[in-house]
Amino acid sequence: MQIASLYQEHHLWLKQFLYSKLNCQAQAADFAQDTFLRILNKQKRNTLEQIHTPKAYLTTLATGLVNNHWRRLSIEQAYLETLAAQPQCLAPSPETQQQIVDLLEQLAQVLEKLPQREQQVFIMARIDGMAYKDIAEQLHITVNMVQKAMCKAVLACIEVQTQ
Amino acid sequence: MQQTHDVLEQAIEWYVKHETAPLSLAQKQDFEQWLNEHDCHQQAWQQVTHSQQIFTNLPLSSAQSLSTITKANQSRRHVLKSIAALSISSWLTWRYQKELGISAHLADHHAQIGEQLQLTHLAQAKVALNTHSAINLDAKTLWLKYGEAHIVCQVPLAISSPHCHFNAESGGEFILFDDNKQVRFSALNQRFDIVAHGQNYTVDKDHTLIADRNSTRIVETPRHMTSWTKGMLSVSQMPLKQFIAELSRYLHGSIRVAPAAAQLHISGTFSLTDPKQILSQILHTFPELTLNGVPNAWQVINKKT
Repeated sequence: MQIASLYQEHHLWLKQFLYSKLNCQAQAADFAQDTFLRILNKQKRNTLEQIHTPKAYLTTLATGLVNNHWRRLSIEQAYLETLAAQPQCLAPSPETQQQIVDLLEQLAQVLEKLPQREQQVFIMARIDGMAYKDIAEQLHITVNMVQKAMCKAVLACIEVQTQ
Repeated sequence: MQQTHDVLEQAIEWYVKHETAPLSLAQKQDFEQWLNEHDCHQQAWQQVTHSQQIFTNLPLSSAQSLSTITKANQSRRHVLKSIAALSISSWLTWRYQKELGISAHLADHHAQIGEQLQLTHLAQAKVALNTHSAINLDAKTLWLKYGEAHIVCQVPLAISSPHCHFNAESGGEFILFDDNKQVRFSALNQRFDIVAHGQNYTVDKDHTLIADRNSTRIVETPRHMTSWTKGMLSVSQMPLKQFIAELSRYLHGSIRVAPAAAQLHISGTFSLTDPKQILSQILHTFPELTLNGVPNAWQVINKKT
C-alpha cells in the first residue's frame, strides 16, 4: 500500500472533513496527521486491511479518532466532577487521576462493545469483585451464562487494549 | 492470525474457569499442560491476566465508575450531534445536559422537560414518563435511561436503570426514578425485590425505597412521589429547598434556594400543567421571598433583607 500517495491524494480533503467536524484548523490538522499515523502503525504491525474505498476508510478512521478524543475529554471532566463530590483528603494524586481516567476510558470502550447483560456481569465481577455464583444468583441466570458473558467481556477488554 | 485468536480464546476460557471456582487436581494438570504446550499459550495467558488485573486498580465503586461513564457518554453524544457547538467544552455540555435534552433523541421514548407522556400503545407495559425522562424497550427488558416512569407491566419484564435493576411480573405496578443523585422506587400494588446500588432490598406495597450516595431508607410512599401521575405536585409540610428541587425538574435551568429561605415549608396541591405558574404562586404566597437571576438558566430564591 502506498501510504505516500494516499496521503497526497486525500490529506487536504481529510483536513477539510475534520475541520467541518471540529471547527478548528489546528485540531483538524492534528487529527488528519493522527489518522495517517494510525495507518502507518497498522502497516508496521501488519494489521492493515486492504483499502478499497480510501475516502470511506479515512472517514471512518478519522471519525473514530475524534470520538476517542471526545470520550477521553468527557470522561476526564465527568471524573473530576465525581472527584469534586468526594472529601478532598481522599483525592488521589494527579498521576493516579490520569491512570483512573485511562481505566475509565477503557471500561467505557469495553462496555460499548457488550450487550447489556454482559455489561452487568462484567461490572459485577470486575469492579464489584463479586463471585460468579453470587452474580448468577443476583441476576437469576446460571453460572454457565455468567462464564459465557465473562468470556465475551474479557475478549472485548483485549480488543480494546490492543486496538 | 486465526491460530492466535483461537489460542486467545482458550486462554480466556481457562481464565474464566479459574475465576469460577478453584480448579480440581485434574483441571490443574490440564491447565499446566496447556500452558506449557507452546510459548504462544503463555503469552496469551499473560495477556489475558494483565487485561483483567488492571481493572482491579480502579479505586472507584461500580456506581461511581458507571455514573462517570454515563455522564461522559451523555455529554459526548451531545457534542457529536451538535457539530456547530463543538467549541463548547464538554464540561459545559455536561452541566447543561438537562437543558439541551442530551441523549433523549437516542432513546426509544422520551419526555422533554416539563412534559408528561402517556405510552399506552406498548405491548409490554403501560408507561407514563415524567418530565425529562427516557426509556428503551425490547420484548423482555425495559431500560430507564434517566428520569422517572410509572409502569404497569403487561408481561414479565426485566427492569433496569443506571443504579437499579429487578424483575417485574405481569401486572406489577411501580414508579422508578433514577438520576445521578438518587434512586427512588415506589411499589404500588405488590411487594418487589429489587437491587439498588448493588444491594438487595424488598419493598412492600405502598412503600418507597430512597437510595442516594450516603444512605438508603424505605418509607411509606409520600404523596408527592405518586401525585405526578395525576398531573399534580402534592406536598405537605415540605421544606422549600426540597420543594424547589422537585419543581425544578419540570423547569428549564436551575433554581437554588439560599440557606436563609430553605427552612420555609410548603403544603398544597399544584397543577403541573404550568410549572412556571407554581413558582409565581409560591412567590405570591411568601412575599418575603425574592427571585433573582436569569430565567430558564439559573435563579436563586432568597429572603428579602
